[in-house]
Amino acid sequence: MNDIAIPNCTICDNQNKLFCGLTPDHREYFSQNKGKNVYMKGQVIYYEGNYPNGLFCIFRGKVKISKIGQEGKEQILNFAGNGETLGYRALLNDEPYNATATAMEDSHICQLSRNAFMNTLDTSSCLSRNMIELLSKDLKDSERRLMNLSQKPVKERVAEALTILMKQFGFKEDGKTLDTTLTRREIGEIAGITTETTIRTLSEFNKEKLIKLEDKKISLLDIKTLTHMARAYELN
Amino acid sequence: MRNIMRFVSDIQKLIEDQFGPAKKYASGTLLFNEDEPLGEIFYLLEGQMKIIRSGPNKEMILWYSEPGEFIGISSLFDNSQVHSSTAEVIGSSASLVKLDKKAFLNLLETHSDIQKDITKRLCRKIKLTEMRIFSSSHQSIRARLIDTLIFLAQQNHNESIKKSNKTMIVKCTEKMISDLSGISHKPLNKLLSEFEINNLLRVEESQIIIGDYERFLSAK
Repeated sequence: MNDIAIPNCTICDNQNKLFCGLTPDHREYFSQNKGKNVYMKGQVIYYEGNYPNGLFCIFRGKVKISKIGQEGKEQILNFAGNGETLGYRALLNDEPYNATATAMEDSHICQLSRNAFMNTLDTSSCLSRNMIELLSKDLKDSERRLMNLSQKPVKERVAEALTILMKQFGFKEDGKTLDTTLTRREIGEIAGITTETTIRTLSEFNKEKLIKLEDKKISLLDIKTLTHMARAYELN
Repeated sequence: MRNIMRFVSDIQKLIEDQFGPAKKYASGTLLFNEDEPLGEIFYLLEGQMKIIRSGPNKEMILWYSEPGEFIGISSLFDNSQVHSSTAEVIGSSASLVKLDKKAFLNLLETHSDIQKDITKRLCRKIKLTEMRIFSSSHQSIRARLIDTLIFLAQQNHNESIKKSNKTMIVKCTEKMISDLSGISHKPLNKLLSEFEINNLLRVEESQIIIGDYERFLSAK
């Protein structure tokens, strides 16, 4: 993992929506003003409450964004993978991070300096426009999650958590087994339910042959039904 | 604080000059409905709007819009063809200026300050929504009330006051607090009275005064 070479931003093959359409000069400027780090699985990239120094961009890896509650219970707010950026809202508003970002696997992450990002935002209408598009999408995603958490029944929420994992992590070579080893507790943290309820619901799905449980592995056997359940209470 | 207010009034003047005059809309007017095709963009000059989304069981208020906001833009930027929410005028009335999509996008291209303002407002809305997601499953109602009042204070541009650890004025109604925090009328009243007895805040007509931000925050 440590051997991966992170390329110059001008030739990076990640399809980063935020940097899409930027000029080669801007990309070169980013390259000259970024640091590169490897975060091991479980390592925190930034903590809730800390102030940002720059913008994180994932070259290779997976990251979860979460908040810890009063009794130490975690709520996973989002995931991010290759080509996605982290920490831009705190940077834009010059305020502390609203949540904690943790590497879910060994991850290669670039950190663009605050000045380089903010200077480019001032001079590139393309980056500003991309930023608004990204934030608009983030807002809709969070609104949908809020609606789901407050109004969706438990089974539908677990089905939704599984479809989120499917989209975010994909499958192993068999095309059925989720390519992640998230614990039942973490799946519950996505769905906003307790670990016990998550275990019980997954077990029901297993009996109904919607999924197959094998140790920590989860295989999705009936994606159509799971997707239908996940969307059952959504309007758009 | 003064700079923010001046900035908002500069934009208001620009928009009124270019696209005005503003039109008054009565309370209860729906600017657009959820699932309707995207039409014009609205700029809120005066008054207040509530943005609602319907769910399987009941509708949910996503946020309250304040003067200086463009209404109906989020679906424009994520390439949806329809509005994802309904916008309704609340209070006595609201003054709004209508812009067509193309004119709005041109305005953005030529005014980076407006782009920045929209960016900051979007960030605040996401923060509120994430706070509500988190609160709904992890926070006590006491913490939910504190978070909601702090958010509303920030929406009223009290950011600079908060940082200097002085008084915060939260312009809101009890219904707004209840809608955003998900705390029903009775426990909300009980908690507000408790906070008042402990000198954490003072409830006045259509506003709440928080004497000491740090002390209020630590009451969670």
